[in-house]
Order: sequence, then structure tokens, then C-alpha cells
Amino acid sequence: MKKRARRILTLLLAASMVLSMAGCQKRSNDDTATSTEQSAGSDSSSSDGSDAASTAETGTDTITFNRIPTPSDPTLVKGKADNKDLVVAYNADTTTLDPHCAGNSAAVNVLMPVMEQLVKYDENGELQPWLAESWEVLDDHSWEFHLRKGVKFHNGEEMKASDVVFSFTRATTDYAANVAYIMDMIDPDGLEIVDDYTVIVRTKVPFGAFLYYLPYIGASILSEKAYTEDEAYAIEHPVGTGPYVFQEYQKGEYTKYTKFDDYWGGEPACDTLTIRVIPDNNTRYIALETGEVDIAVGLSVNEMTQLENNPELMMATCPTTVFTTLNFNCAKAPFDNQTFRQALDYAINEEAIVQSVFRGSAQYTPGPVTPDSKYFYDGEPHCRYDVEKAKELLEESGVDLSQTFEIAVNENQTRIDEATIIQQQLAEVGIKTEINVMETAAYNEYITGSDKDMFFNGWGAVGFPDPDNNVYGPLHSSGIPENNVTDLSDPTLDDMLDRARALQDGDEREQLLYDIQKYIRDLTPFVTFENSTNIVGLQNYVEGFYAVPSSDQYYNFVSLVGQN
Amino acid sequence: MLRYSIKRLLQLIPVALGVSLIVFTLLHISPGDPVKLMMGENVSQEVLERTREAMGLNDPFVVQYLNYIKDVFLHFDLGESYATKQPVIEEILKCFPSTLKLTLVSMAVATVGGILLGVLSAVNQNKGIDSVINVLALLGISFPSFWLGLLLILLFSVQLGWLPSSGLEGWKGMILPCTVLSLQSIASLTRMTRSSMLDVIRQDYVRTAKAKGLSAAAVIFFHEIKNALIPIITTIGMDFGSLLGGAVLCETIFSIQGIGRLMVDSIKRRDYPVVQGCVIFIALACCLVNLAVDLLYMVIDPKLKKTKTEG
Repeated sequence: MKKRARRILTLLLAASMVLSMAGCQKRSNDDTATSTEQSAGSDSSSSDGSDAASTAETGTDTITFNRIPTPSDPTLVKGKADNKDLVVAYNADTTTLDPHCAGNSAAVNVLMPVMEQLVKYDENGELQPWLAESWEVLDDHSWEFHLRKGVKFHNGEEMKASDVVFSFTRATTDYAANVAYIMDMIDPDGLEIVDDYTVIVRTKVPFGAFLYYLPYIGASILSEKAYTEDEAYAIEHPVGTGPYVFQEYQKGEYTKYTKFDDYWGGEPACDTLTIRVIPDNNTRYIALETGEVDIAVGLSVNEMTQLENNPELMMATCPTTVFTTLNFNCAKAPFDNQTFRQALDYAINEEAIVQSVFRGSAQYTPGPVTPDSKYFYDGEPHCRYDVEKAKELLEESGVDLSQTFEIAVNENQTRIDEATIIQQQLAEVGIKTEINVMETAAYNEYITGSDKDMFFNGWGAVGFPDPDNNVYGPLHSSGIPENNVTDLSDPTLDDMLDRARALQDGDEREQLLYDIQKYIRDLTPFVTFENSTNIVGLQNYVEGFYAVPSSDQYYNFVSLVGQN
Repeated sequence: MLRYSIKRLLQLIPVALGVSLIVFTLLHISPGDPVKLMMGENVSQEVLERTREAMGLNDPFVVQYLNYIKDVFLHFDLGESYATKQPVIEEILKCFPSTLKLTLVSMAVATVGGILLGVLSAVNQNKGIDSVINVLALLGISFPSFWLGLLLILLFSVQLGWLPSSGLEGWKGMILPCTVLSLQSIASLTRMTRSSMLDVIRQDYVRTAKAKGLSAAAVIFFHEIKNALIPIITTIGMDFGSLLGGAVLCETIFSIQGIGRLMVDSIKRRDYPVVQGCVIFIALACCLVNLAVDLLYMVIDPKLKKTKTEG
């Protein structure tokens, strides 16, 4: 009884939060006296039709992102006494030092100072030549790369076309299963050395977005010599072309690097780099506050205010490409009923939920392509919350509402909060639900099964701005049941996704991706909630850092201001 | 005593077998797919299936268990971690020194502190100092360690800037983690010592010792503490086991890579071999500590030696 009373109290509280959010939509953003990039948040235009009027009350609340941090008060910048040693704190330990086994962000994070790829994203998310100076598209599945000359590996060897072929071949073996989802697209037999500095790479099938996947850890260029002479040693002592040379890895504690004097891009700014593992958010923030670390990655909304109020610290934020969804089991009645799914969408006020749960630390995304990604479709009313319309659609769908549906969620507090509010909002239109919280590993297995109703999911951890990863993986029918957990099998959508993947970037692909987003919204295999934000805390004497969408960050060109 | 030790060491085999069977079964019936967790999102069906097959996860449960037992007992091989591909024993040995250092120092602090406070409290029974120590001991047992750890970090690292907030390097780095970890043991040892001492203080031989004119200090050290030691050592032995496995919170707050954290991380990843290895390792360590405690009993109390070696 007591438990029940508490649950009801929680619900009331949650409901009142949502109502109060609706009351004060235009929350002012904290002033950040810096060059800011506005997120592509949108005005919900009412040009689109009847139901738009009701969505106006939810409004939109754009979040200001601040990718490049600057000190709030430059006169307070004191510098670091021993200012050539950069120390970074990350929230998880790597499981490997081999880029071809790097299946998680922690691994990417410790390998990026050592490893480089043919192309790279700059601070604006634009693709830039990197180890490849230029490239030509030969046909819809072949690319010819012209390599930069004079690039040295840490073992002194020069990077040549043979290293590229070696690296990509190794990345397509069974050993590299952790990076297979991208590297498997490369046809190992199609790799061709034209001369020492020219190489042709082919994909197995036409794949227009291929280049946008290449700044990927699995596509790093490794020294062929180092990895063939003593592979076992190289696996634990990675050899790449990056500005920092790997020195030492201490499990669960740190990874240490020294600068690479022969780096092709000029001498790195710091003598040493140390990436420490501090799993607890609080402890990581405290290590920043006490000056034990220069950069603390992966902070949460709880540390945001503290960061903003401390003049000796700075904050960098960047929207990720990760989006959270409440998925519907499209293969099971009544969720196989499209009208019913749409009714659910109208019954849930996704945008207000994101605002009340994330308190301005994450933005609402109306679909799988997040607002800061390429080809984000900004045309439709984003959040179509309309209780009356929802009731109408429910009636039309003819679904029996006497049953209780399940909302499954893993042990993630923000998702549990979201589920609680959803439960309340669905109750308003007469849909009964129960929330089932599960341990994460068990949950991951549960959602690939077939006996599920509604359940949370997150997707898009790679952090590349191209939308392909966010629409293809979770929705193409070939991904059932491991990736496409909604079990949605729609031939029209499959066809559109296949075409979008094969097309080279351009107007046609852009239009197709807009159509895909509209079509997905109409299908409603899920409703989308937040697009999370990376929050990085830094000492005010850190220069040259910019936050990126993936949770692993990039420290290669960071320098530290000396003492005044 | 040697025969007794050998007998006890042989008993480790069924313990290890039993523990491994329980952990293996629990892990395999708990939901969660290690391959999926290892590979992350967007892995194709075939790759997943190929990896499962290669890792032997598609074999029947009994086959998997027998293979595991065969490797462990015939080749002393705990297997390879799914996540890092490193031998499990290496993973454990990399993490064990931190945990051992943390546990031993904390245990030493707890033993000295707990016995001192307990004796002090017992000798001054029902006086002011006794009440103060009792209240402190109650607080010590009640404080959750993660909360205390964060408060101590806030005070000594953030406000005063005296001690590092994380890690276990140097004597300075050990102060906070060891304080946090030993506090509960100090408290429980204080209470145990106090009650055990109070039992002894009322014994006839103590009265005799006092009557024959021994100084108060001599009575406490040579007659009271010595006789009160048995339950105290039992507590130390039990605490040692719980410290060894229970350092998880402390290791997380202070970012120390010890066995506790390794085990929790591995459970989250469903890294079966590492979890099994850690549990067996800790179980054996606890057995060994208990054996040491039993042997210590005999050194302290010759009566026990007689019964144990005969029986």
C-alpha cells in the first residue's frame, strides 16, 4: 500500500512538473560570453495543418551549445605551473589498445592521440583531408586516395599505400569483429596499390556515405612493419602516426603518452599526455576542481551549474548524435496498428518531458536524425501533443484499452523519470501501463526478443554528422532483431534507406533523406525524446580544445597557457 | 598442526568447485548476452553469430561448465576475458595489489584502532569516555562509506587541498581510502573488543592477578587482552574477507582499480570468465585467511590446538 501511495505521489509530482514546464516555455538560457553555435532548434510552424495549433503551447526551447570553451574572465587565467603535461579524466577504462578491437568509446578515447585516419572532422563537423591529401570518387563504390607524403609512424617508418592496404585488410578479418559494422563494408579484395602514395579502396556494395564513416577508429592507418614483425607486442603498444606516442597503460588507472617530435603536422603543444580513468562523476569533477586534471570529460547536468559558477573553470558542450526513443513492438498487436502508434505519439508530450527531465542539458529531437546532423528535416511540427486528437485516433484504431501495456526501461534514472511521466500522460487518454525496470545487460537481451510492448532505446553513439547511421541501423528490416528492435519491416522504407545509402552526397540524397524522415514520423515505429549533450569541464588555461559529438573527445591539438 | 593445515588446504578443492558451479550457473541463467555487450550497436547478425560460435557460447551449459572446470583444475587456466582478450589470471593479478594494499593497511589501522578504543572503553566502563566511544562506534557502523568518502574528499581535497581526491599513490593518497574502508571495521572491532574484555574483566584469574599486586597495565596486557583475543581475531578474519570483496564502493569513489571494481565492471559486461575468476579468487583468499585465523587460535590458545589436532 505504502509503495503504491509513493508511486502515486511520484506521478503527481511528475505531472505537475510537466504542467509547470508547459507554463513557462521560453526559459532563458544562461549567458555564455563566448562564440556560440546555435543548435538547429526550430519553430514549430503551424502551416502544416489542423493539429499544429495545439503543439504551439509546447513551443520550442533552443539550447545554446558552446563547443569551443573560453574563460569567463580572462584576467583570472593563471596557467599551470608545470604547463606542458596535459591530464585528462575519462569515465571508463579501455578494454583494448588495438584500434581493430575498439568497440567502445573508452577505447577510442585512448587511441585517438596515437592513431589517425585518411580524413577527419573539423570543429564544424566538416570533413577535412588528413592522412589523405585528396581523393577522387571513381564510381559509386570506389575511391582513390592520394596520401600525404612524409608522414612518419612512431617507429620511424614512412606511411605508404601498403600501410593503408594492410590496415584495411586487417580491419576486415574476423579478429576485427568489434569494428566490423563499418569496416565490413570494405571489400578486402578491392584494395589496390596504385603507387606508394595512391591507393584505391572499394566497398562491397555502392555506399555513398562511405567517406563520412572513415574518420573511424577502425579505419586508422597502422604501421604494417610494427604489426607484422611482432603483432603481440604491437597490440599492447599501438604504433600510428598521431601527435602522441603511446608509453604506458595501467589497467583502470591511466594511459600515458609523450609527444611525437617527428609529427607531420608540427611539434605537439604538450610534452606529455595522461588520460586517467575516474568512473564516478562527482570524483571526476572534484579532480578538475582541485587541479589534478586539466580536462574532465562526460560530466552531467549536476555539474553544469558548478562549472558555470567557477571562474577558474570552463565548460564545453556539444550535442551528440545519440537519440533516445520509446520504441513500439511493430510486430505485435496492438502495436502493429499504425493508427494506434500515432495515437500514442499524440498522447505523449515528448518535448516537455525532455525539458523537465534534462533541465536544459539536452535538446528534444523530433526524429532519429538529430537537430545538428546533416539533412535534419526541420519542416514538420516537431512535437505533436494533442490529447483530443489522440483520443480520436484511439477510437479509430479500435484497440481494446482494457489491457495493461508494459513500458520496459533499463536502470537509467533519466529514462525511468521519462517513463513515469509517459505513464501519466497515457493514463489521460485511457491507456493503462506498468513500468518495468531491468538491469542493463538483461534489458539489452530483452529488447531483442519478441514479447515486448513499449521499451526505451538509445542509438547513434558513433558521433558522425552523416544521418545514415541513425536511420539505417535501427529501422532497416535487415537489422531485426539485433539492431532494429522495433521489429518494423516496411518494404517502402527499406527501399528508401537502401537508395539513400547508395547515393553519392548531393541534392538527390538530401531530398531522399528528408522524405525518409517524414515517412518515419508517419510510420511512428517509435517516439523520440532527447538528443543528449556531451558536457566537458576544463581549466581556464586550456586552449585549442573543441567538443565533438562522440563521447570520446579529441585532445591532439590542445595546449596549456603558461604562467603569467 | 601440519596435518591439520594440509587437511584444510585440501578442503579448498570442494570449496572452489562449489563456488565455481554456483557462479557459473548464476551467470548463465541471468539474462544478458556478452557478445552483444562486447560489440556495441550496429553489429550484423552474422558477425554476432560467428563470434558466439567462436567463443563456445552456443555449446550446451554442461559442456561449457565441464570445459571450464577442465581448464581450471587440469591446466590452472581461468580462461580469457571476453572484453580485453587477456588471460583472466593476469587481469586479476593486475588489480590484486591495489586491493591487497588497501585491505592490509585498512585492516592494520582497524586492528590497532579498534583494539585500543575497545580496551579503553572496557576499562572505563560506564564512564564518560566509554559513552563517547560507544556513540562513535555506532556512528562508524552506520555511516555509509560512499557518503563519508565524498564528504572527506570535499573537506580534505577541495576545501583544504591537503590530500589527492583519487588514486592510491604514495602515503598521502592512501589516507582517505584507508580511513573510509577501515572505519566500519574499527567500529565493529571496538564493540567486539569492549564486550569481550568486559567478559574477561569479571573472571576469577583477573581478580587473582590484581590481588597479587600486578599493575593495572600488566593486568590489561598480559591477562585481559590475551584472553579476550579469540573473538577479536574471529572478527578480524571475517572483516578481512568482507573488506577484500567489499572494497568496491571505496574503489569506485577514489578511482582505484582493484578486484572489486574489476568484478563489478565485468558483471555489467557479462564477462563471464573474469567474474568467475574473481569470485573463485576471493573465495580462496577468504578460505586462506580463515585457515590463518584458525592456526592463530592454536598459537594463542593451546587448548584448541589439542582438540583440533586430535579431532
